[in-house]
Amino acid sequence: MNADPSDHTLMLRYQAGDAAAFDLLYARHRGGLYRYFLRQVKTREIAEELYQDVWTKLIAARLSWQPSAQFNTWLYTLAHNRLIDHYRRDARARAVEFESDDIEQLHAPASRVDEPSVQAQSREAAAALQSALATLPAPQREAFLLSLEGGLGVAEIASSAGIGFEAAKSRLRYALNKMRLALKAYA
Amino acid sequence: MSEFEPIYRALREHSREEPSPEIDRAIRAAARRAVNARPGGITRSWFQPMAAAAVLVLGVTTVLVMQKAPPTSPPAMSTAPAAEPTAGPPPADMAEKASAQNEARERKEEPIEYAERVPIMQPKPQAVAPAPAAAASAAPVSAAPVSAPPVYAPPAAPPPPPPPGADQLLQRTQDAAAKRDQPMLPSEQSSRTGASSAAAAETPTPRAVEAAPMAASRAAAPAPERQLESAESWLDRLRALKQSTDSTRYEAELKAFKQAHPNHPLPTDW
Repeated sequence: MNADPSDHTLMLRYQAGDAAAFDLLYARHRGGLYRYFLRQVKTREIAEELYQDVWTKLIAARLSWQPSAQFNTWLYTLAHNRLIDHYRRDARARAVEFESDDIEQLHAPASRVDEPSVQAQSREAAAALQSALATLPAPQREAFLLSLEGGLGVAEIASSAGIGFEAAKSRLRYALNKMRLALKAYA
Repeated sequence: MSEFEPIYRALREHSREEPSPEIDRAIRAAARRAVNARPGGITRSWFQPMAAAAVLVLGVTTVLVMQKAPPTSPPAMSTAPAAEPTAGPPPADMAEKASAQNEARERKEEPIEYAERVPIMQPKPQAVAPAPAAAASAAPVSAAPVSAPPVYAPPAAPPPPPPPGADQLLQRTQDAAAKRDQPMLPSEQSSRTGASSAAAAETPTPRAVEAAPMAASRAAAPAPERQLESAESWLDRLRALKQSTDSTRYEAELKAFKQAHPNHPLPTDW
C-alpha cells in the first residue's frame, strides 16, 4: 500500500480545490525545477523570477490540465517555454556561467559537508561538475537537466523540449558522455 | 542508462540549491487564493439562466412585433386577371378592371397604412345590384364564386394598355363606381346595367358574344329569392314615386316591376 499519492492524484485533488494537495506537489518539485533554471540562466535572481512565473502559470492553468498528461512533463514543458521566452527577450542571456562565489553560495549544506576534508573534496567536485555542465551546448544541457532534475525519460524530454525522440536521445547521450569524462578527472 | 548513474548521483549530491522561503510562501499563497476564488463561482451560477431567459424574451418579443407590425412592402403576388397580358379582353372584363383600378387609385390616395393593409378587392357586381340588373351587366364575371379569395393588385405592375375606345368605357365605369355606394332604385340599376351592356356592345369580342345570350336569359329569369326579397320594398318605392311628381320614372319603374314580378298582386288603385 503506497502512502504517497502520485502527482496525478495530487493534481486532480488540487483541481478539485484541495490546496493541501498543491503543497505536497510543490514540495516534490520545487528543488528540481529551481535548479533546472539555475543551471541555465546567468543569475539567481533570474532563476527565481522564471521559477515563480512557471508556478504562477501552472496555478492559473490548473483547470486546463488533462489527466492523460504526465504532471512532470507538463511542468517542464511550461518551464522550457518560459526559458525560451527569456532567451528571446534577453539575447545576451546565454548558457549559465557559474562563478566561484555563486557556487559556494548556491550549495546548501549536505550531510557529509560537515567534515572539512569531505567539504573540500565536495567543493572541488561540485565546481568540476558545474564547470563541465556549463561547457555543454545549451540544448544538451537542457536535455541533461530535464533528465537529472525533472526525472524525465527520453520521450518526455522530447515532448517538453518540443523535439523529436531521436534528437532528444542524441542530446542526452552526448551530454552524459561529456559529464562522465569530466567526472573521471575528479574520480 | 545505468552506466551514467554515478554521474546523476554525484550531481545530486552536490546540487542542493533550493528556492528561498519567501518564494515558497508566495507561490503557496497564490495557489490558495486561486482555490478560494474558484473561477466564476457566483458568476456562473446565474449566467446561464440569465442568458437563456434573455434569449427567450428576445424571441417572444420579436415574434410579437412581427405579428403586430405591418409588412414593410405590400405583397407583390397577384392572381388577378389584370396581371395577365391578354391580347384583347372583353369589354365587360375591361369594365371590371377599370373599376378595380379606379378603386385602387382612390385607396392610394388614402393613408399608406390603409393601402398596405387592406387588400384591394375585385368588385362583385352581383352583390351590389339586384337580380335583373346584375344578370345583364356581369355576365362573364358573375359566374365567379362569391367566396372567391381576395385578389391583390400589384402596386408596381403597370396596367396593360387599354384598347381603342376604352377611355369612354373607363369614364362610364368610374361614374358607376362613384354611384355604387348610393342607394339605388331598381330602375337606376337596370339603366346602369343597360349602360354596361351598351358599353359591352360597343366593342364586342368573341367572349362577349358568347356571354350575351346567357346574360339575356338571366335577365328574363331573375332569381326567385330576390323576387321574394325585393317585391315589398320595391312596391314601397313605387308608392313613393307615385306620390312624387316624376311620373315618367314611376311608369318605367312600374314596368320593370311587372316584368320582374308578373304574378305579384298590385294595389287596386294603381
